[in-house]
Amino acid sequence: MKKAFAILLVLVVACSLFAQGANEAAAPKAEPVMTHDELVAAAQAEGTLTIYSYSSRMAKIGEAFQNLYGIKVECTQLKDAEMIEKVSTEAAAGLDAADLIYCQDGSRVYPELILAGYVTTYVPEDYKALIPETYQDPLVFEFCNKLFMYNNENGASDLTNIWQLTEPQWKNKVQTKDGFQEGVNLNFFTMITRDDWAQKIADAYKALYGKDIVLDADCKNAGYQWIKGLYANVVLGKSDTTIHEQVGAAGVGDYYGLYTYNKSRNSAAKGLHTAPNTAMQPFAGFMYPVYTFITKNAKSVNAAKLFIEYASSNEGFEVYKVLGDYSPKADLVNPEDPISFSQWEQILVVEDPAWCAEARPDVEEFISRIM
Amino acid sequence: MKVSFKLRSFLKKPQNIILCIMFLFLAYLTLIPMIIMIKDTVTVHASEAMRLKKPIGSFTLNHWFKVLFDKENSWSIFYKPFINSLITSLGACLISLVVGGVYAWLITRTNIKYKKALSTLFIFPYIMPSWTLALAWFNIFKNSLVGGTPGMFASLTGIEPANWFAYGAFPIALVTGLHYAPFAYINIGGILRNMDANLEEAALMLKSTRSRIVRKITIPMVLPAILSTFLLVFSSAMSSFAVPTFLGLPVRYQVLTTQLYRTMNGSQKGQGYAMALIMIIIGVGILAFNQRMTGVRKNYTTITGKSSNIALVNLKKARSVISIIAIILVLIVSVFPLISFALESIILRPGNYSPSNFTLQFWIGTSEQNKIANSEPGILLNPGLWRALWNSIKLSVVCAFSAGTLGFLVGYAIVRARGTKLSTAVDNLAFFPYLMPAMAFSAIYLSMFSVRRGIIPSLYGSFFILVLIGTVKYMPFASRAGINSMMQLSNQIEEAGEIIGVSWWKRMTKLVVPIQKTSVISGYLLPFISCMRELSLFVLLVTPQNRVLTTLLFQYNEKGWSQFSNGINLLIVIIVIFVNTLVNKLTGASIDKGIGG
Amino acid sequence: MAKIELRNITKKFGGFVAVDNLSIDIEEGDFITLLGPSGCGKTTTLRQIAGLETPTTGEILIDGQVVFSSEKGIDVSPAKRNCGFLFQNYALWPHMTVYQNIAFGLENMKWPKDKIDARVKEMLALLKIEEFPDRYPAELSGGQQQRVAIARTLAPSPSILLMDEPLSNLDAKLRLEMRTELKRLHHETGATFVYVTHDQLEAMTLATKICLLKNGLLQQYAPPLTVYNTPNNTFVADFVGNPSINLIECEAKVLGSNKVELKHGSMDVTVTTDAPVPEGAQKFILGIRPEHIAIAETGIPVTVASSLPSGMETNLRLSIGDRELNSVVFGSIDYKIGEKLNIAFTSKSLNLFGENGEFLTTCGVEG
Repeated sequence: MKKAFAILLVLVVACSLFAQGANEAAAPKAEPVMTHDELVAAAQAEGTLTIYSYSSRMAKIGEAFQNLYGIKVECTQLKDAEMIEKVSTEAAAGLDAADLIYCQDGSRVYPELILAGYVTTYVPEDYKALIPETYQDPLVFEFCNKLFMYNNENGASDLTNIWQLTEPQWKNKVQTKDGFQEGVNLNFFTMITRDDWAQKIADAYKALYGKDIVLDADCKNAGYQWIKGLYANVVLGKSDTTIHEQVGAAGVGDYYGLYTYNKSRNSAAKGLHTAPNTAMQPFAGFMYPVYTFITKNAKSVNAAKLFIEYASSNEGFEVYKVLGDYSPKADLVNPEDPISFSQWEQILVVEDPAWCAEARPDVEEFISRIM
Repeated sequence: MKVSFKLRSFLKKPQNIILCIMFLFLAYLTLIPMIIMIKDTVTVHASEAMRLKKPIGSFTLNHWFKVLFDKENSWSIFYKPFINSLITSLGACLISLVVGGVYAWLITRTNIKYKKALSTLFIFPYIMPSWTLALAWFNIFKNSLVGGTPGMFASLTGIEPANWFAYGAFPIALVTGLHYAPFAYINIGGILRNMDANLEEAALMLKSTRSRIVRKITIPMVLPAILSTFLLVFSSAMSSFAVPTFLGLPVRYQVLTTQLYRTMNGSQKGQGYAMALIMIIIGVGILAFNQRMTGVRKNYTTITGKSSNIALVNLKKARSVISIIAIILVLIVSVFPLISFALESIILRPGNYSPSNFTLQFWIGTSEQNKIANSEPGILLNPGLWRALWNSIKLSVVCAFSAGTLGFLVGYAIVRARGTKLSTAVDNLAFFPYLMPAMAFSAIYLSMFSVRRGIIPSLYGSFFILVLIGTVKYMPFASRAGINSMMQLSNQIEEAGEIIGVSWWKRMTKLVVPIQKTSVISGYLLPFISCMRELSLFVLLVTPQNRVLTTLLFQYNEKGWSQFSNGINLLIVIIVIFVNTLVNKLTGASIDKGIGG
Repeated sequence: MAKIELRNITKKFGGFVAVDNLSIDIEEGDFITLLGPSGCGKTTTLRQIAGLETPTTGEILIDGQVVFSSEKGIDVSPAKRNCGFLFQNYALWPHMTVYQNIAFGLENMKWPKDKIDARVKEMLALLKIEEFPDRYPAELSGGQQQRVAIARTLAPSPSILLMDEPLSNLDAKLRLEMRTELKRLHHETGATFVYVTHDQLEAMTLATKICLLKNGLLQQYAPPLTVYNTPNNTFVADFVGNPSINLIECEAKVLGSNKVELKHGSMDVTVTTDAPVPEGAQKFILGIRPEHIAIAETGIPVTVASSLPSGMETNLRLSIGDRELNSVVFGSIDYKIGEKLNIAFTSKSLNLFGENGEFLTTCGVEG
């Protein structure tokens, strides 16, 4: 009896010890806020900073960062799916491969990385006032716009409503990426099936045709109905770069595309004629967020923090100050673009990762069916 | 006592030791991934947890239900792409067999001209990544459907190619078929070259017409080659991803792989694994069918005897015409893409091929000159690219060496212990990785080796894991080559050595390997080439330090810097051709001898 | 039943001359063996008759019809020459059953099914392979495969049967058996047989005429016993017969037009020739078949070098000074090695060759 009690006691103690250990690991340490100089010193003591990034331009920031602070940066570009696959595998296995990630596709990032506890968000203290609170958890590094772009060789487009693109005369004259090629495109389609957006789309229908929309049996709401209409007309493209080239080529005539706005920066060099149609109702396209996280097993945590700070500084963000890329941080305005970030927010569909994570499978199946 | 004696005499034979070791090795590296994959088809993945409202990792039959039995979705998720896959794969098989078979026959059995050039150039499409031909097809035959600049054909002739011709099933099957036609050429050509001409002469003496000889004698005799080509091409075509992506997308032609990619890329991983598993099962089915067909009764290996000079068919007046047509067709599929890569890598604006638009800045421009490509320095000045090139070569050489050596040993042991259960098991296991879709295979390796398992440390991020997966994936090539060549080597040669007490090691190094030199080297060449141009197998497993050339190529391609991607593509093809030619000149081996089987 | 004529056939493979200006006539119903060492051009000759090989120059006639002529540019396809061909390795089609193999040629001739069936059964019976119609070649023994090959070749009743060393892959006993069968078949079918072999015994026993080739050149074309008894030259003499003929190079003294004294070692004989020999010749080669050397009371003294009794006969090696002679003694006798004996040449038709090996005449030892 005594023996059993002793064993039980040991067990309880052991359990509580472990439990405590677990708690400790889970709860964020109440760290004192470091000054910038302290952070630099701590970061420099850590060694190489490994970054996985969605975009190749991050490597440029990495170089500048390395030159500035003397911290070696390894930057790898990965596609969404590979990024998530790698980061979750690394985190689950306790490897310290990546310290910092810049990633897109919220509908997968949200359940697979955030909810799984594989990554944490860090917002530099000074930035908290400059970034709208909605974009602080998870922290959005930048937004990338995908807009309705058209061939403007013959002048400005007179389309004003997204429903016009579903009309027969636009058959095979609209291009966009297969949603399955890039998660953010699927997320956009998922977003517009949410009730609020579906309602706006239904309203736009009424505004254009003067009557209420009649839904097909397989369409749950106006969002689905519009997707179906668009897919009836759309030619699926391989990448945004090629879509840009196809839409903008001379002699193509009336042609629309829904793709990344920042491809326009090469239009002149490639001899392409494109312009965005920002007058489209109820939206002119979508903008998707790029999130930044520090990984669970990061070794160079301070370097990662320093990098987050640097990448969203005026100096660091320089390479992203192009048409089509926007930081939600108030002081990072793009002088080239007449439309400000907050204006874009009004006319574009913005991704909500939680909704996408939940509803995207339905949209995926729907698109597979109408293919 | 009796058992231990049996065991001792079993282990006395080196082939049994090899088979035992290889059985464990292969079982670990192929069966366990397979089991993990099966498990993945019935568990809830992180991306699905929210939707299925079940905890991550719990059991579910939802994936199988969605793929196979969901009235609303199964057709679009699985059955339609599955049927499309069958159509394009069978089409590709047919095309590669016809094209490869006709070339094999022309080159081995007729007095066609330019034989050497033909047989060298015919292998090129296999050396090049499969999508290069697709890209060329797309550039030439694209029509106004996809917008942009018109394709070469339309702008030259003014005729718009029809959609079915430009995209979808027809070009996918054709391009894939042409890509794998070298398989058929090598397999069938090998048999035609070694086949006893007497078999055909005997039929001729019995007043058979030429066409009946081909139908009744030649084709049945090359049937094993046809079947094994069928197996190889069908499984390859089924798991080929790049070609259908290129050519299927404009008309939304979905096949299993593109659908697999869509689900893996989307939020339905479990369905993806279920589909991958189905693809493997189909592959295994074909393998089993193949083994039955070439089974015991009709023993084809009795092809021996006096190899009399084969009387070449005289093409007579048609000789020149056929020769020229043959060489032109080969040039179109083998050399033309190379020229197009070179051209595409030096034009500034896409679609404009006038000399004023030419520039070498993508090859030798400094980063200041290459503003259009994000200030990336030209290919030849790009240190990242050189590092990737070095990694590629290092990886390919090491993979080729390990896959080639192990494959040869496996082939040796399988033939020596032929008929035993162990031998058959290892034979099948060694071929199995060939049937695994590369994408799924590497995803499993990623999770399998990211943590320490028993005595095997975490291999994640190491060069070694790339070597491991490359070795396992490409061993089928080497083991096939090994089996084929060992079949032709009489046991007595080795027994002669054994009787006078020559050790196994010496027998191998002094007798077997020297005799089989060319086929051993060929067994190294094929993994080398495949490794050099492999992408999907490595993309998940590389880390910045060991990034390879194809991952770089892929990135440039994704960014739409076609000049860089075309340039790198050209570089890869040139390196492979150079290595192949060098090895061929030095040793007489060539990839033609490797694929057989 | 057909006659085959070869006229000045020459076949070159690159610079190598495989057949050199060969002209022979093969009569209807003949059983000809093409004999010679490996690489002498015999298989090439056979394949040229069949049409499987194209002569470089020359003319081939079958039954008076020109089937090949380099001058006239005629080359009749093998299928139309009405020849059967039996390959050395049988060339059975491994993917067809015995039945299908045999029926193949008949199907080519568009025979009706029932006739084919009857003929195949007949052939199976003729070659005593009735039990195996449904087997695949790989499931048969060498001898059975051989029979199937013969059945397949004979089924369409070719008037000419060309055979390329058909027995070389069989064991000795089976070979003997098959030889008898071939001879029986030749008799039963009455077809013209051309048979390639490098085995002189096979050639001797089977043929009505032997065509002996060396390096593409015809050496002798004659019935077997003629070839055996009066070989055209020492090569022919040496090639046929086993144990082989004793060719003794002799110092010669021509004593008269028909009388020559021949000396070699302990041998010193005077022979009477059936034809006059060139006067003043210093050297001859004397050819003596082993069975023409008999052990005698007196005669040429020899020492026994080896003795191989086989019951019916005993093969002896007898040394006369610097060389040994083959001898066959009939009956069950054995000799001790080193035993001293005397020998005599019993035949009146020994062969006398000139210094360069050309046949001069037959001769007999005096006394």
